[in-house]
This record gives sequence, structure tokens and C-alpha cells, in this order.
Amino acid sequence: MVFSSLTFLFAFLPALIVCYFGLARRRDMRNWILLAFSVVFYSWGGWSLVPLLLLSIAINWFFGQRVSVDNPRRTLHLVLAVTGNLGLLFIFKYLGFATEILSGFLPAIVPVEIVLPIGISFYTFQGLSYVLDVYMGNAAPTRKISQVALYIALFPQLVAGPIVRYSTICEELDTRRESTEEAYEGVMRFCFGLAKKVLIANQMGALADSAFGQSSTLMSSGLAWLGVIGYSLQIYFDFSGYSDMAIGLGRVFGFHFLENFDYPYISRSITEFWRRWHMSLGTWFRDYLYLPLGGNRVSRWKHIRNILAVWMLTGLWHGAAWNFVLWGVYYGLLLLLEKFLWGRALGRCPGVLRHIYTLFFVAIGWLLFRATDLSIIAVFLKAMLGGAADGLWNNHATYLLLQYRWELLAGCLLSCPLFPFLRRRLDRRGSLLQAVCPVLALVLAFWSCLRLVGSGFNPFIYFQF
Amino acid sequence: MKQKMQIGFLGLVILLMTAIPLLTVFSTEEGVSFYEQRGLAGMPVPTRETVLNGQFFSQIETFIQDHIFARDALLKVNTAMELAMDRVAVNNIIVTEDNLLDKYGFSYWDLGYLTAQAEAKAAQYAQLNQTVKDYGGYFCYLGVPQFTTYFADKYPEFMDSRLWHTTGIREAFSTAMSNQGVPFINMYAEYQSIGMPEDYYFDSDHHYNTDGAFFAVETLLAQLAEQSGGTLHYLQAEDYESRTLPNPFLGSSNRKLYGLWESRDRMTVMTPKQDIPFTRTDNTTDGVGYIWQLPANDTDAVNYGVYMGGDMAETVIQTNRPELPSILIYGDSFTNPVEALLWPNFNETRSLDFRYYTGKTLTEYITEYKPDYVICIRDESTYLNDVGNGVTN
Repeated sequence: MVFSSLTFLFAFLPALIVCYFGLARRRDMRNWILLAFSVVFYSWGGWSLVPLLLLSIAINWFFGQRVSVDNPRRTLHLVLAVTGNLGLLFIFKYLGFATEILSGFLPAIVPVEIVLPIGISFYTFQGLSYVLDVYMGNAAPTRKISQVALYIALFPQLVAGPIVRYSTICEELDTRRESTEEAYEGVMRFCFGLAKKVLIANQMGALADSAFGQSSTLMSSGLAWLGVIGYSLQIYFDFSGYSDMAIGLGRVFGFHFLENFDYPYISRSITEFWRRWHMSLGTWFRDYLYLPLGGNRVSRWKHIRNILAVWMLTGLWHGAAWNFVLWGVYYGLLLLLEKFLWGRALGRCPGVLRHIYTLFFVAIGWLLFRATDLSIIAVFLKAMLGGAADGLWNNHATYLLLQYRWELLAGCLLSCPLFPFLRRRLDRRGSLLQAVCPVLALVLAFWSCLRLVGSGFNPFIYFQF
Repeated sequence: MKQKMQIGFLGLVILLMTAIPLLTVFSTEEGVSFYEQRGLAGMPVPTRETVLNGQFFSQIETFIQDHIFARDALLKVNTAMELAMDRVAVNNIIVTEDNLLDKYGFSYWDLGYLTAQAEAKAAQYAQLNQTVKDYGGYFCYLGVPQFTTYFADKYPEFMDSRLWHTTGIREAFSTAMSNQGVPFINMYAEYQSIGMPEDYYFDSDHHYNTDGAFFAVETLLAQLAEQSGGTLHYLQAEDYESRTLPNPFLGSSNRKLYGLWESRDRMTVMTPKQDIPFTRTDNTTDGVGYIWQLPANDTDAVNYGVYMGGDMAETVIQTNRPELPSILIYGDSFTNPVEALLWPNFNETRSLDFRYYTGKTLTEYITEYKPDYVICIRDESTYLNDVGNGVTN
């Protein structure tokens, strides 16, 4: 199930609210209700997916109790837990890719085709987070499997993040407190997130699909740039919109998830961009892989190895395909170059140039991410650099620019911290802010619902991960 | 104050979230969507397979989307907002000041294949022509322009009307028909010869209107009269009484915009001044008492269905005047106004639409009834198609 669906908005969510707030008073009862609804939420993609989720929960619950600091064999159990989690992830996400590569060398190997379970990368990393947090002493293990199940399966972040660390919410699983103010803020956050997804991301997706669907002979430079800019806005508003909805829903039920985005497109370097983009994944890799490998407190070559390893795995985490590997390596190299080659020089450049530099390389990164094969990357890169077969500008580009001009404009403006700026300004006139925000949230939510009625299924990009 | 407002906001959200599903459940069930002209999704029935693979749940989503409370009103508001945003295309319809036009993609392809396709198709029509000739009848193909071709110059200059494609089809097909000696009336050229009058096609529908259809009928009858050696006499424009209905007209393109586009289109009804008694049978059902399906009042919206009541698999109109010839028309919905204007000139007018008609093959039908004239009416986008009314045997 997706948040931006009529089923979720007008069946699942009201039913959950009635059951959660209306029927249950005790914490454990509310947790069971949340867990039951979370399983229903996940099973909407097909009941065949549920056993794998339950297996992941069972593995992490089992090993979570055996990796605490007082267990002498905890390292062995940690290895088993990591093997179990990554083994499942490998089988369901990477086996097809691996056998496809191997079949190129060994014809006897037949590539296997396995349906990718929704959100497996997210819940595997959450499960690992539980075991690793317990192992590192950041959290205490729990004997209640229901608690581990609720942590991993909690529907707001189950299928597309943010990747919530166990240490972040372990206390709230038992002792959180729902309040009117939290619910109010949460619902508003949800409404704005829904609007980001439905009103901007979906339209930018249509623009990007149209541009990326064009043949190489009818590609113009303008069209290629529009396609890449459209996709850059789509992926940002899609994923950050989802994160807003997840964080908002979490607050309604008393949870406080950490932020996942911090206006990444205003960054002045690639390093800064990755501090602002998908922060929950970045910090996960930092804390559970980069730092345990030694981080930057090792020799230069090992430091380079650590960065490349993290980024290759970041690429692979997003998908079992060469373009994702290429995307990960691309960022690894860019970060290395910033760190060791031009970082200082970049710091001395005017802010505008640094923005342009960052946005250019981020846009190229999204091209690698979006393209399904290397030939598309080549066509787009050539076109973006002025070598398009259909010249600098063509009718297709004019159409896309005019058709989606409002969303392009809104996307560009809202990629900047315009809203916090306005909020600060309006805060001086407290009552105005209090009146404007909820009205705006309702209007945007209503508009989003109109679009949902008028359009078809609109899955989130990050569901495929 | 702040807390009261927060409670009020949350209360309103919860009220909406609970009221909409309740209203949906208890509202009157509608099985079809008027504007989309399709049946709405039925309640899915779970099976082991669809529950396991998730198909059942996506069917539920579709069901809810199709049956949500006030769906038509919500879709209308959504479309109105899109129109207000001045998009180039809304619901895949290009909105210009004067017309609503189909939106095409930005793809182009080599038309080299058209010549061979047109020759093959024309050879089929040559066979059909021979079959009709063999019993003394006359076959003629009336080719009419698509509305996107007719209004090609109305497209924004950066949008493609596919004129290059329809022109390619038209030229290849008319050449091939000429080479095969099959009578072919190229209505595009005929309309062009009189300056492509804008008011011959609807602004908000993909068909010609009564005036455009009447010009096609006049052109056709002139050719039939010429080949008959002057024995076929037919009604002239002054023999008809023309009346424009005051009702708003809901064209097929405007229907996709939920009728929100301000249209100048009106329906004109043309009936013979002289009273000509007739009987009409649709799909073997006798007693259909009308040719033009007129609205009950002056305010209800009318549509292209006024002509003959819309598409029919088979229609037979008899005027009980054996001294006049008989005619068979087959084709898509472009035949409907032609039938409505043509029938007074014949003893028997038969019409077939092979998208729906399944009784006999075309050859069997012709052999059985031996109509004096067999007319195929198609628009240029379908000249080379074999399916539906592209049948030739």
C-alpha cells in the first residue's frame, strides 16, 4: 500500500485511527494494533511477501538477544545475524543480477528471476540496525518479539524509509506519549508530504518519462536537460515527500523519526549534498560500515578504500544493476576528488559557482541513476553537452516546458528553504502562521486527493529498493 | 486558543477521512462512467493467486478509485483546475482557443512501408468492387479526413498534428485505389477545393457535423448520379428543412474534459421537407421510429448520438418506393450522419458496422441483398486497417 492512495487515505488510516485511539488505551494494546495494521499495510503488496518479513523479524529478534555485551559468543552471533540478513537480501535482490553476470562466463548457469519483495533493503537495514545497536551497546536487547516486529514493520517507515535506527525509537516503543499538538504537527507534515508527492513529483515524473522515452535521433540538448532536471525534482519530491509523510504519521502515533532530507539541492559541494540527502542511509553506512572499517583514521589508501567500498555498496543498495554500481562509484570518486584534489579550491570559489558545480554533478548522477542502460547515458550526456541529434532545442522540449511550467517552478522554489524562511517571517505574526498553515495543508491535501481520483496508481520510486 | 484550533483542524481531518468512506459505501451505486464512457470496476473477488501476488489488492484500489463518493464532481474540479493552469494538454486533449484536438507524441517514422500496404489494401477493394460489379451494383469508397487533419493548422506550432502521417496514408491509398480502378472519393481534396470551411467539423468532437456530412453526401450522390447515367435523382439542399437545436453539444473531446470547455458547437438537424414514410429496423428490432434521436427538451446536452441514435451493428431503413435504388453503407461512426441524410433518396438503405455486426461476412451480405450501391465510409487514419470495418470480404 502507498500513502498516496485512496485506500490508504480513506480506508486504512481512518480504520487505524479509530482502532488505535478509540478502542485501545493501554500501550501494549496500541502496539499490537499498530503491528497488526502494519502487517496489513505490507501484505497489500501480496501475502506471499509477508513470510519473508516475518523471517527477517525472527532472525533479528533471535540474534538480538545473543549479541548483547554480556554474551561471550556475541561476535559469532553477530556474524550469523549479519549473514542471515544479508543472505536474504542477496537471494531476493542480487541473486538474479549475480547469476546473470556469471552466466556470461559460465553458460551452464541460468539467470534466475526472483520477484523483489517491496522494501526489503529498508527493513533489512532496520533489522541489522537493531542487532548492531545492541552489539555496540547503544541499546538493550528486548525479549519481546512483538517489540522487534513493531520496530521493523512499523508501517510509516516500513517500505521506503527513513531507515529508523533502533536506538532512536526503542524507548518510544514502550513509553511514547501521543498528544494533540504532535498529531496536529504530524497531520500537517503528512499533508505537505502528500502534496510534494502527488502535485510535484508525479508531474515531474511524467516530464522525465517523456524525455527519457525519446529516441536518440529526436533528442535535443534542451530536452535532455529538461528530462534530467525533471527527474532530479521527481526523485527529490517523491522521496522527501514520502519521508515527510512517514515522519508525520510517526508523530501522530507518538514516534519521532529523524529527518531524512535537509534541502540537498542548496548544497555547495557533493560532500555537503550527501550530508543533506537520504541522511538515514548515509548515517547508517557511516556508523555501521565506514567507521568500523576505520573511517578516515587509517592510512590514505585505506581511507580511499573505505570511501569507495561504502559508495559502491550504497549504489548496490539501491538496485541490482550496473547503472547503480556506476552511480555509487561515481559519487565515491567525486567525494575522493573533493577530499583530496579540489575541495580547498572549491571552498574559495564564489557561492554561485559552487552551487552550479554541485547541481551539475548531481544532475549527471541522477542521469546514471535513472538510465536503464549505458546507451541512454551516452545519448543524454552527449545531448546535455551540446551534441544532440535534434539540435539545441526542439518542439518536444517546448511542450514539456509549457505543460509542466508550474511544477518546474514550484519544484525549483520549494527545493530551497523557502518554507522555513516564510515560517520564520510569519512566526513574528504568530496568529497569521497559525491560520495559514492548516488552511494551506487542507487545500493541498484536497488538491492531492483530486489528482489521486483522476490519475491511476502512482508508486514511489524508492519502493523498488 | 492554539489548542482549540489544533483540535478543530484534527477534527475536520478525521471527519473528512471517515465521512468520505461512509458516504462512498452508502451512496447510490453507478455502474458506468458517463464522461469516460466505460463501465466502472466491479468489486474484485479474491482468489488464492490474486491474494498472494497482490493483484486482488490493486483491484480494490481501482474499485475504490472508481466508486469514491462524488467521483464525477471531483474529476470535474480536477479538470477545471488543470484548465485554469492553462496547460497545453489536459486529459490528453490539446486545448486551443477554437478547438479541442488530440495530442500525439513526438515520434516520427519512415513512411516507406505505406505504398506496399496501400497496394495490398487496394487490391482487396478491387476484388470487392468486382464482386459488386458482377451482379450489376456499384461500389464506391468515400474517404473522409480525420478532424486532426482537417484542423491541422489549429495545432500550436510546436505540437504535432500527424498531418505528415495522414497525408502519407491518403496519398498512398488514393494512388493505389486509382491504379486498381476502384471508385474512390477523396473528401480531403473536396473540402480543400472549397477552402476547408471551419464550420464543417465540430470544434469539440472528432467528427464532421451536419454541414460537413451533407457536403460529403452531395459529393457522393453526384458521383453515383453520374455513373448511373442520370437515372439517380436526389434531394438538394433546398429540399431539406434545417433546424439548429438550442441544446448544448457535448463533443467526444469535450467529454474528456467533462464538458468544461466553452463550446460553440450546436447540432443541426436536416429532414426532408416532403414527408417520406419509412420503417427502421435496428439489429432485427422493428419499429424504431426515428432517424434523428432528438432530446426531450431544449436544455439537455446532445452529442453525436443524435445521428441515427449512435453506432448500430445493422440498420435497415425502408421507404417502400421500389422504383428507387437500394444502398448499403458500411463503416465507422462517420457513416451515421451520412445515413441520416442519404436515406430519403433510396428505397432501401442498409447500414453495417463491423465493429459490432457479427451476422454475415460482407460478401455474404452483399450477395444476399445485392444493393445497387455499396459504399464504404472511413476516415483516413483507418484506410489501411484490416480490423473492424476494414473488412473487404
